[in-house]
Amino acid sequence: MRYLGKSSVASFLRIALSVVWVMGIALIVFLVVGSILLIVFGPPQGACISIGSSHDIVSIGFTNIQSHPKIFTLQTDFLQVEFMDAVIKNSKQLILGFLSLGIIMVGLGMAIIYQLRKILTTLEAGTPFVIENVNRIRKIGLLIFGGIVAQFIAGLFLGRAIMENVIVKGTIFTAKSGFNGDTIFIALVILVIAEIFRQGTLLKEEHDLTI
Amino acid sequence: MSIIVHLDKVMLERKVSLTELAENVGITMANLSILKSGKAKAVRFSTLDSICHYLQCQPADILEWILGEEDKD
Repeated sequence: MRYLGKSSVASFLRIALSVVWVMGIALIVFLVVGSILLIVFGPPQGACISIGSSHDIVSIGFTNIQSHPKIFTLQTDFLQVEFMDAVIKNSKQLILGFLSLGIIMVGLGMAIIYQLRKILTTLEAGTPFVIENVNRIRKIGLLIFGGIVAQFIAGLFLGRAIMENVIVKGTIFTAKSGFNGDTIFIALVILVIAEIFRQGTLLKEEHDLTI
Repeated sequence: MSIIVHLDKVMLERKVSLTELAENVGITMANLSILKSGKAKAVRFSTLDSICHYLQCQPADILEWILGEEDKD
């Protein structure tokens, strides 16, 4: 199996990321249009609000279910909890808050995909050891840190927003916010790899200019 | 870089063209141009040996060290 050059794993990944890139743009457009519609018209009547977190991305959705007009769904990677007869105050602000976080997280993800696509293009061309790739890998590491900070801030504000705006009889919501240790570790490893790549680029340059 | 390459001067004295030197020394024209223009970061002893052998000169005829701007501080 070829990993670099044309018709290789790198070119397959680049094509796959291009597809994800187009889907991401469509998602951002959907989120922005959704936010604008919410600001203008407010949430739909009898909306079922669902707030989820999957693969470190917090999401919110709402469907118009007339039979369960006051259902509130909380979703994590492992679990989906539905609260019947929930009282939701300021649902417009709540949904807007989560949509804003969604836009930020998808935007960060898109920026990472953009950098990855550029790196994969150089891998496909067979010239990976260029200083631009060092900067791109570094940017990916910093963007992941940006995501960690965004999640931490979102945890502070959105968790508190749920605490204050969602009332379910006999249920206590407690907001908690923290840094994701795994993601911090990954971001640091990527920054170290960027520096290793810098050394490799310098060695390549020296090799190319040794006559 | 405080190393000045005088390859073009020696080649002119010996009436040797770039193509001729490249063919006889066994390095590409592109690499020879890098060496001539002073952009090279390092020269292998084997390359220097081949150039000196063909041009019948000493390494000092090709390379000269001068006090660079970075050495003046």
